[in-house]
Amino acid sequence: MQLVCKVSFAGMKHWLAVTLFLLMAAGAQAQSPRRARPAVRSISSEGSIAVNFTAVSAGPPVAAAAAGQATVHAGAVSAAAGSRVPGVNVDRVAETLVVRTRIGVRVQGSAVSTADARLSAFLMRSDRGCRYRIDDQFLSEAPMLIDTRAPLGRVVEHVLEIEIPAWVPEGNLASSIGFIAAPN
Amino acid sequence: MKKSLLVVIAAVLLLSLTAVAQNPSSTGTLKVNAVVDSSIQMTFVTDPNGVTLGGDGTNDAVLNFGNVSAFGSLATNVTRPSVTATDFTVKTNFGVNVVSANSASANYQLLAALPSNISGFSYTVDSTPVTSTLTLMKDNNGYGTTSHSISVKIPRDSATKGAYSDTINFTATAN
Repeated sequence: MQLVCKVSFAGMKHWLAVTLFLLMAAGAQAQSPRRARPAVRSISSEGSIAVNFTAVSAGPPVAAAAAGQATVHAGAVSAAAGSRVPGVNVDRVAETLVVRTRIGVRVQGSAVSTADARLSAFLMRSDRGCRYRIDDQFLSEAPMLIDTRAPLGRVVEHVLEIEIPAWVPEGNLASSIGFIAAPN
Repeated sequence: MKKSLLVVIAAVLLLSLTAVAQNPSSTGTLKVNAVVDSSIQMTFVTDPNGVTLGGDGTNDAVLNFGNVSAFGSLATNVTRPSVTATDFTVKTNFGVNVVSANSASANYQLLAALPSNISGFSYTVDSTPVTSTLTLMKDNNGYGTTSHSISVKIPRDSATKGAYSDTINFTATAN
């Protein structure tokens, strides 16, 4: 009887170890989403999805580079003259210049068993104290869900806004926004 | 010890199965480029000691002195600093609001010109006559709202009566 009690205790310790290990592993994945992504991508043998960017009729030119990479050119902007680029609007709100434009994002799926995807965005690189919004949501380094059901294969328009404080000196502005798509 | 090792291996296998079961995801990068230009913006605002401007807060305002005469009553905030044998002068104040953005400039120049003087009256902003040539009215103005005076010298001859309208163009230039 005494022996049975000892075995049971040892078994509980092992299950405790398993639970702790799983919790730690899950915590490590949640702490660094950027580091976790390549691991997830490498196992996508059953299907794949891709994020692409495109210009929309009411937006500025979007120059596509490699797959999933593009550049949107907002052109010259100023508080007094606004913008000369079609599809780029400039408003002065208090001490801030707000540049508003539209971009198209297409999530394409191949051999995936779903019709839509979750689309998140995050700030990879912000330039000189500017703030960025997509569909009224401020971006940060942490991915933020901007579309819970982005239909696969279709271009969805999003409003991109850049807040440029008046104290930012004139010059070139270059920032990067990362997008993550995951099928529902 | 052997049991512990087995447990760890089992946990790793569990994790791997979880990863395989996840859906694929993809990432994209959108670079955003713009060129920020410095600029200043000027608007006219009603001064507490001036007449109410039409188009207050815009860069295309109307300052109406109302009915003026050498001896009669004047509109609120319109004064008559001088009356001579040949002319009289009416005066009021107006505000100029100049703001800068994305600029290192600390102050600006205010210039004015009267491209076509229809009435033939003499205009003075602060203490500087306004002519057909763009002339510096005041230098080193700090950004924000500043108060300025405008005076109009009107002849007292019998031909001068009725409604008159002239346009003064103002220019703000960042220093």
